[in-house]
Amino acid sequence: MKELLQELVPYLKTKDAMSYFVNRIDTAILELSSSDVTHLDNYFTLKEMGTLTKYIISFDDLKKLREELMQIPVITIKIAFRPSAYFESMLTDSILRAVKEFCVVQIVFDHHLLGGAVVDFKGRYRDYSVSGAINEWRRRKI
Amino acid sequence: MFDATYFDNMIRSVGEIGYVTETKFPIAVTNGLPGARLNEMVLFESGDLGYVFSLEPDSVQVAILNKHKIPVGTRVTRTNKKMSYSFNESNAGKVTNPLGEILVGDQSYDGEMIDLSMFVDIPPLISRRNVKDQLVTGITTIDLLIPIGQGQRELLIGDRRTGKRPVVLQICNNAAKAGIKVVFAAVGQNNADIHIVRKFFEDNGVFEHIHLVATSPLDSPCMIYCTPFSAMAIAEHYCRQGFNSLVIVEDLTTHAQFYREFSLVSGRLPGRESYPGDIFYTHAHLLERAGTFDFGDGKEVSLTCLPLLHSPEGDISTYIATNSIGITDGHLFFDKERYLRGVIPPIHIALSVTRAGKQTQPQILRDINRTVTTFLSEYEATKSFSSFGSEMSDSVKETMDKGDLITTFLRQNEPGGHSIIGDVILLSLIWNKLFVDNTLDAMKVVRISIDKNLQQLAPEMQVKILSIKNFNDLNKYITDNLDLVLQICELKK
Repeated sequence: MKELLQELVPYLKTKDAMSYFVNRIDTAILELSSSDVTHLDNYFTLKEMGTLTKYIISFDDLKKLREELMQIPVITIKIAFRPSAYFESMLTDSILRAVKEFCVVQIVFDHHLLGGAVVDFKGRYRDYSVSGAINEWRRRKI
Repeated sequence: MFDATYFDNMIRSVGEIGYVTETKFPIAVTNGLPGARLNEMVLFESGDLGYVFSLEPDSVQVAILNKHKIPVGTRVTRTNKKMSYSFNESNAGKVTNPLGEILVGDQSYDGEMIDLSMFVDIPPLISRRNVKDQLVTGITTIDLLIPIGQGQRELLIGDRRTGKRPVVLQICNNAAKAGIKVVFAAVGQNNADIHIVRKFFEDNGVFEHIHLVATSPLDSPCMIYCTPFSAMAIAEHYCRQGFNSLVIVEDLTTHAQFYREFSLVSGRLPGRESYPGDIFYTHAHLLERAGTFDFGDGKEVSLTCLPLLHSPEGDISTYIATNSIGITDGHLFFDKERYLRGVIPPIHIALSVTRAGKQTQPQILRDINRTVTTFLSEYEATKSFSSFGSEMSDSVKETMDKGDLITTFLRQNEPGGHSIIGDVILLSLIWNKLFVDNTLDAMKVVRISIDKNLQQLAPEMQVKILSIKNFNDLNKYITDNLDLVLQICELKK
């Protein structure tokens, strides 16, 4: 299962992609409702099938894959502007390279931050935003 | 309305966040919070409070303290603060919840707030001292026959509606008047009952010296669970200030039931009667915080604890009852049959136990205790035989008459406590057949007379009586000074 997850990394970089993938697994589990996994190509792309068919040989494998995917940690980045697709992709790649751990990225837009970013990963919360810095400065001044 | 910026500031300062992944009221399961510690308070973004109840490998179980359900996905953060009661001296005379929020009474407070940790380690053995002083309760049966020492844990066990609360309120009243700091924990009690307790203290003018920590059944079970721990934290605080304190927990059965409720919801394995496996530990950990201590300053302070317990149909062999009897230093058994016969307080002397109280009594009271207890058991046996209708000999008749008088002497259904010295003089008169009026009113008049006249007419008599070693010598002393005693009692020969 570990090898399968590593091969799925290029498809599952963001939380949206992950949710979409898990949704398709759910649909497959619901509709197939048997131990037959020969019709998985109705739910996944050819590229994905190329990876899945190597490791998914039973219905239980599919369920196990879903459980494993649900446990992948999510790194949430809150930024102050709505990013372009190119920027989002670049940011995701650079974060995944920096983290060096299997995780998915969720980018959230919050204009209250004014600038900078807020990072939340495995329960750790770090505020590098402009609004946070202003608040801190104000707190120290008062 | 909760200020959301407070939550954001808290996250920033703590640097940790979690999300609610599952709610099973009153338990919320959250992910994240990698630095969470057991019993640490947590804050939800809705403003609700909780505390860390259990730490799992990938999640944290949080006990919700408010009445609201927490939706899945709600953000939660730690507070770096253990579960604590926000204590202020001016909280006395008010009804507060286990967090120190004022429920009834003036919301203002003077001085600084002190956070008293609810769940602390019990004081070590090295700081414990012997129970030496008697807790004067004002209840004749208790003071003479089943004495309670200051620092003792005495369970009050009995069926519902057997007069446990009036006895406890009387004890609180007497203790507060004697300068003992009293903390009353009303665990999951109806608001009407809490009102009765408050009204009693207000009517007797002692509420300013009493902390009333209360929760109602409508509160979160986790909040109800914390009630006795808060009360104990307040009492411990007073002990460390050098005051003797008294904690009343009404009642342990309700406490155990609410703990069972949320423990089962959290998925812990149930044990006997579906109570969680650590119920004995929980109650022992609570009650072990009572005792007599020396915190290193050479001054001995006591923390007395009187938990109440319901025993359905007088059955004292239930799980919680046997546990509590095992943990405490004795118990007072309230008999429903006696209560229905009008014997108030309906304490069953033969079934009641005090393991540390007798050592606190003066020698004369110990001898009276032994003599009267033996006599009463003989009287009960004689009484059961007399019901067969056989003709009684003079000695049996004498025993019956004296037993009836002593039974009336031990009855006490009016508010206000009895003084020990008054009880001793009256008992001696009864024992010597110098007082034969078998009515409560006549005995009340004598008691009032003794309290009124003793200091004026014979100030040395109290010291003299308490220095006598045995009951026979006391009777001799009373008969030798009969004129003076009758003058004190305002009785005629």
